Amino acid sequence: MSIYVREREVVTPGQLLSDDPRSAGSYTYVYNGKVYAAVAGITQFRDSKVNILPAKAPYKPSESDTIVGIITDLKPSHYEVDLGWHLVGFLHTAGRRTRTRLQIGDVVYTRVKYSGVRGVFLEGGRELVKIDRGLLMRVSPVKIPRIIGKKGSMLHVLSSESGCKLYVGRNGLIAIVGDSPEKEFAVASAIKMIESESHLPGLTERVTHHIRKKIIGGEVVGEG
Amino acid sequence: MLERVEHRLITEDGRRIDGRALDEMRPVRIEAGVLDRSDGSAYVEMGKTKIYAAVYGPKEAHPRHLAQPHKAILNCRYHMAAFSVEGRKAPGMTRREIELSKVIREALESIVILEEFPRSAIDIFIEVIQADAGTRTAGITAASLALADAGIPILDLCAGIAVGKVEGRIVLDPSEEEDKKGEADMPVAMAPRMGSIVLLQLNGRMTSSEFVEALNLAKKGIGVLYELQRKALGKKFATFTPVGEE
Repeated sequence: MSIYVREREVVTPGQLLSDDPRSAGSYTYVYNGKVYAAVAGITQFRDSKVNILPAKAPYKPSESDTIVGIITDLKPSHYEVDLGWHLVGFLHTAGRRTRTRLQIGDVVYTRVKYSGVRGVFLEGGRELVKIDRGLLMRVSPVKIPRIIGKKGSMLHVLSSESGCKLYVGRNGLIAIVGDSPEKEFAVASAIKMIESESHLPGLTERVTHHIRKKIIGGEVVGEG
Repeated sequence: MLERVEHRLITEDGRRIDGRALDEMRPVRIEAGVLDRSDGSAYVEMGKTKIYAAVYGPKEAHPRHLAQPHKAILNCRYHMAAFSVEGRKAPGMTRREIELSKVIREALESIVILEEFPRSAIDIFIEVIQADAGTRTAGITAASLALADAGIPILDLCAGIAVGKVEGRIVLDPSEEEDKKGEADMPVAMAPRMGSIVLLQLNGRMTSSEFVEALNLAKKGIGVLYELQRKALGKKFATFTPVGEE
């Protein structure tokens, strides 16, 4: 078995990655027993597989992903939920309680129950959270892991520094619920910063600093 | 009195009207990610031919009955701007544009992994800003780069170039004048890694040996364009190094 790329190498679609079909990771495909790149991105080796981390990619739902969506339609047996992309999620109305609870335009935070040829189905029951206030923003879905951070570290920084509750959807929608618009906007601008500077080191400190600066109102107290 | 002067397209020493060699293409410029509001975009310039391509989606397929349960559908619009040609072109879609949209769509369908996005649609817009022959091939070059820029999984990038027959000689990348006065014009688009031809049309007459020569010349040109496409994509990653996972 041989691999033709180094770790963290920039690859383009159609580039030969490996001779071993078993090493086909995410965003790759196998053709005639060889593994090729399907998108432009950076290689990453994990569990003896070659994965590609794309710079930009459409969201592809998979089971147990947490998502944030907007109710777009009420049907006799289900709700239709806009996942912010090409996808419409279906939320089955489990009993009368859920049914009367949600209206068109409501924002919900829930989990993907099934995703496949039949469509995307969302978890209804107790796992569903209805978000009735706050700020909704959209980021590129490939940046979500960076916003969550290692074991949720970045997310912890964002919420503890601002006192806001964050609902982060894998589909790229993020709901920020805080007790004042200033705090919510501070988190939103910090998330935009993470999105644009995700490749630079020392991000956590800068995010902390950024939020503190924003909330206090332009003045930096206790520099560094 | 007017005297009739013979206007030659190829000189005795094998130079063309714009000074190029027979197997030389026009100056090329290829860029990716040029339009902010699209999901993916690209710009291709080949001499005076200038083209933007934009990709939107995948998104919901409309009208709904066109959606395929197992794969995405591709919509493609090749359009020439009213100011792209000498004189003015009516802004609507002409028969020619509708047909080119179809052949370009079919060419791109063979590289996009449509099964990744069931029940959805991917829209591709190819806008010719300035036309000087070879717009369909440059359009394919731009569109495949825009798809890659959008992060849509594709089997390979594809590039296209035209080959012409002018005064009995096979030439690469003919310009408008060579195309009009020449004997034949053959646009070719290929996915080089797969070695597959995704578009091949021939307007005019060629002998079988001329055809083989023309196809080999096109392959050579496509190879150059392919490397430029890869370079344009790579440039976007110069500052991009993703760090940190959960």
